[in-house]
Amino acid sequence: MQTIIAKLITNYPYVGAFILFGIGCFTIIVNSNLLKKLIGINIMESSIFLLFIAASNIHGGTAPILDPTNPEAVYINPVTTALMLTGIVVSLSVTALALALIIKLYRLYGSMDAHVIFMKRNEVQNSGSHNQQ
Amino acid sequence: MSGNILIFTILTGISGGIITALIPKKADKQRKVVTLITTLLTAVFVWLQIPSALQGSAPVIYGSIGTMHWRLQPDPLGIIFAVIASTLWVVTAVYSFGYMKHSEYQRNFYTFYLFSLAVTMGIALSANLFLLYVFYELLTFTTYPLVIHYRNEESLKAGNRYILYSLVGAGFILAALVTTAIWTGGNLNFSTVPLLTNIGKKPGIVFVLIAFIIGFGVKAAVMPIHRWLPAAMVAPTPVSALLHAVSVVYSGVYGILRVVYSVFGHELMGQLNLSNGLLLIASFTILVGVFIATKQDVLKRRLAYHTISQLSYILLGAFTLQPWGLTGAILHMISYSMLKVTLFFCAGIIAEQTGETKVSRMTGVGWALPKTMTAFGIASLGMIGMLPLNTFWSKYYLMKGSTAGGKWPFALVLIGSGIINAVCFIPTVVTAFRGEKVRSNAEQGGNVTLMLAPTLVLATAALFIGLWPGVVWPGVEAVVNWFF
Amino acid sequence: MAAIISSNTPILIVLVLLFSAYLLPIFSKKRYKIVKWLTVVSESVLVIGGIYLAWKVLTTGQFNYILGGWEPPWGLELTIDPLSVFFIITVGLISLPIAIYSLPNMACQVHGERRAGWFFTLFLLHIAGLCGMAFSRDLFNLYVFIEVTTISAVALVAADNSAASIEAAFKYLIMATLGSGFILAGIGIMYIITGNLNMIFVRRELALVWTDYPHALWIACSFFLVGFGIKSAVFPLHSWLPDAHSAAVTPASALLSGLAVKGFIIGLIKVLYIAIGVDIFTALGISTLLRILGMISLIAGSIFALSQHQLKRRLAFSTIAQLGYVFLGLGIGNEAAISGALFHIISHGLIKSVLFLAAGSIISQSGETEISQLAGIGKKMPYTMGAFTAASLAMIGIPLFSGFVGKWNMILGSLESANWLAAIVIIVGSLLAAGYLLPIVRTAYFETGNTANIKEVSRSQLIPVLVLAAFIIIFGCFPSYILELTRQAATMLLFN
Repeated sequence: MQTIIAKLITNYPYVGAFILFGIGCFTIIVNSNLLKKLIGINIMESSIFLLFIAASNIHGGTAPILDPTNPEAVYINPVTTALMLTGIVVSLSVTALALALIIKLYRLYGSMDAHVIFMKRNEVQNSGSHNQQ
Repeated sequence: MSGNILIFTILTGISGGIITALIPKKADKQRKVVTLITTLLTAVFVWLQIPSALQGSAPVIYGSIGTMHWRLQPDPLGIIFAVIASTLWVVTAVYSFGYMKHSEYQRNFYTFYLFSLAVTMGIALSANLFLLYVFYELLTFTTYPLVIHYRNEESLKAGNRYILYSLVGAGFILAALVTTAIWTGGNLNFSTVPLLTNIGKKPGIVFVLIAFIIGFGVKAAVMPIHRWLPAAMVAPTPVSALLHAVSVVYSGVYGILRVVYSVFGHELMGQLNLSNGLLLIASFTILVGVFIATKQDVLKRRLAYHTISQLSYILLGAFTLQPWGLTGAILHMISYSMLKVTLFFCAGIIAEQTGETKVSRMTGVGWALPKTMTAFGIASLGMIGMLPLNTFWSKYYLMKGSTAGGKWPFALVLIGSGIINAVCFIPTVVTAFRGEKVRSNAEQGGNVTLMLAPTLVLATAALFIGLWPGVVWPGVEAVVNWFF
Repeated sequence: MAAIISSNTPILIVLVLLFSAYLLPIFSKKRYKIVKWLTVVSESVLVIGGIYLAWKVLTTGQFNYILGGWEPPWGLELTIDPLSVFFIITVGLISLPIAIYSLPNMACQVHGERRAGWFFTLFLLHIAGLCGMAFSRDLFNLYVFIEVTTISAVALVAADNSAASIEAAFKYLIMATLGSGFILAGIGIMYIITGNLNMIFVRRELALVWTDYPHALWIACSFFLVGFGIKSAVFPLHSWLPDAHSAAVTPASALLSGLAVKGFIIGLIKVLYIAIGVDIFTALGISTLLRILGMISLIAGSIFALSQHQLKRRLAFSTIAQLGYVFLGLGIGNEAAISGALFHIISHGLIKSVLFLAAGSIISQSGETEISQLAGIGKKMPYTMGAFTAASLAMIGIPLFSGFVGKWNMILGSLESANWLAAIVIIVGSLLAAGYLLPIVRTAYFETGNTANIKEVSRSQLIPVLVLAAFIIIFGCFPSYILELTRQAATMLLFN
């Protein structure tokens, strides 16, 4: 048990990442406000960025630039940092698309609450089918 | 003869169907000509193959769909089914020219009539279990539009039931088929050696057999999975006559014969010890079917239940696993088909010309339709198994088969069924000729002639075969020699 | 020149699609004709390139294309193996007819030619994403293409700007992003365990060390399963699909239902079979999970489909059911079952796009969306309804139609591994398919209704549907080439 706790403490960035991931998921699922759902998505994605960055971090490591004066230096793995730049771009575009959709939804339904939108949509559909009959 | 003749046999029906579909709605005459030519051509192609098929040297053609191989080659059993079906298709075509004259949706009718012919030929000529399954499944969908021909609520409901039963049955066959394919390493070709001979008594083989029998038994209307057949009687009479007395139900019976003799083989079937149970189911169907038939007042429904009963005669013969039993089964396949189609044709003429569909209201119909009722009478005698008719011989061999296997109680079943048959049909014929000649003769006019001629031809043919059974004997003998 | 093209085909396919996607908006305002030509040309490049690569793979075996001359651990690698060329061909064959179907009248469906140009930008981006997913051999590269596909799919759903479609699109976006989050987290765990992102290197490393990290690996696997499961709408995670696929404009629903969901399944196959390896994830119990998920979504999807009264919603639920087949086939995990599942991907893609396109034509001509109001439409639109019927029969699994081949192989596979339950579920599933599709056909042909003003659709909308329907029958009667590809793909996944 102690060793597990010790491991968790030494790997605290991972623990933090997974807690954030959980918070993000929870927010997406539980909150009915569309903006809060979007914030949940952002929290979740940030937690994954944290996971990647923490994975490549080395205590006392230097930036991965070749230094002829100090050939023994330990470098931090640059790959994940580069990957996460791409990840941030992806997450940004998702956010942009989601915001655009939220604005449209607000204009169409007059609300940002998922429940309200759901009810209104059902009303529209039911009245539509009444008209057909 | 090259294998192309087999392809032609099947393609004739398909191309005929496509042509009938393309002929404009109004041009009924041209459509009838095409139908007649197509059915005749198919029949000629089939008859041409008789000699070589009976010798076992029929032309062959094969190929593959993906990993599955297919093979067309008629063996004696297949050619007999093909001959029965293709010949009756011509006769029924003539009958339906008369019957369907004023009906709606004629284009639809003839198109699917010819497609069904092609698919039935496919079932008969395929020398491969996989291909047999393919055509068996297609038969459901080509005959469905014929069943719901009148498009009213009742027929749509009957159609639903037909599709449901057939698809569930096909599902059972598929499962059994795949298992067989795994056991035989993908070889599903029929030959004189049954497919599963080398497999022996593997665990699960009984389930495979049962799945096959349930699957094909649906179309063979074995009780208790028969209920689609009486419902399907809402179809026009030519369809009921041809499909629900002969081709569709025979494809089920044929499938069971194939499974018993070509897939499992009589030796393996004997080892599995299922023969008695299967015989019991068959005799149950025989007795209960004909018993329910006597209770029915609507003539077509009576004939439907009677069909259910008679089909199990064939199965009874097959399940005895005796050469004589198989002889009886094949003979019954040939002779029963003619008589049943005759009966249905008569029922159709009665309904069309006098408007009567119920047996209880047929008093004196015989005076209005003397020739029709004579044919009806002849066919009824045949159903009882009286001597001058062909079914006498089949019943004789069926009994011989059951006693030869030491299963004499089943011979008693046949006798009992004959008696109930007499109760079922003789009073109908008698009432038809009772009473005064109040009704005028209704057997005049072009329509009736078109319907009457095929009826009489079939009744005469049945009599002829009854008096000279040697005509069909070589075929029957070839089948029995093929499997034993 | 020819040599350059032939040696760089894989990347050219993706690049042509991407470039023409971004060129389209330039022309869409004034010269809509150029939009049409550019779309068709780039789609044709995809089809021709796909067939060329398939020929190359079938004759000389699989090969890798190294991007920009950087060797694998540092650079990116595209893989041209039976699996990827199979999916490229699927994408090409299905998306080209959909594009041709949608080009002439897209402008009135999405309100204006300018927006139609943007629609095809998304369309081509989506296809480029799918192709990229099939080619990529790098986990992160795979993730990027997944995101390209997802975002363009969401925008495609929202294309016609109606209230229902925007709502469906937002729901889709939230769910899909949740899925991407899980996938990316899974990739992160894999990277932490192995220190590699190239699938081949990941697997080599995993084979050595996986016994040290069984729990971490199990978490990664289940993250992948959940992530890809959301995106390909496995039963308990499917809630976005019926809304999104039924609210989108017709070509978009055909594309999403026919291809997009399968693209994510290809992604899952790549991660599980190539990056992790069949022995490892079977030992972790993931294949049992796949089987159970497949069976549940097969049965549940079919039952939901049975209870729908709207044509497009019923088709959308049937997509969930049919994807259950693919998951079940992958879970059974022997050669026959996997090749059957892959064959089902192409055949269901064809079937579902025919169904959706035909349904779209019917709805646009008659204005009716309820199934019960389609009575008698078979008489008025014989060709469209004929294609619909062929596709329905194929979906049920009638022999000589493409759906049968896949199901046959899956049943073969499940019985070979003595899995009776799976075989029964597959057969019951096809009976249920008959239950929800045949009533539509019956209503359209054999019942009479008020169909006085309904006409067959124009030729440009009819021919693509008929071509797709013809492919259903061709692949049903002559499946050899595709089956050979899927079989090779299955052996590669299992034994490489």
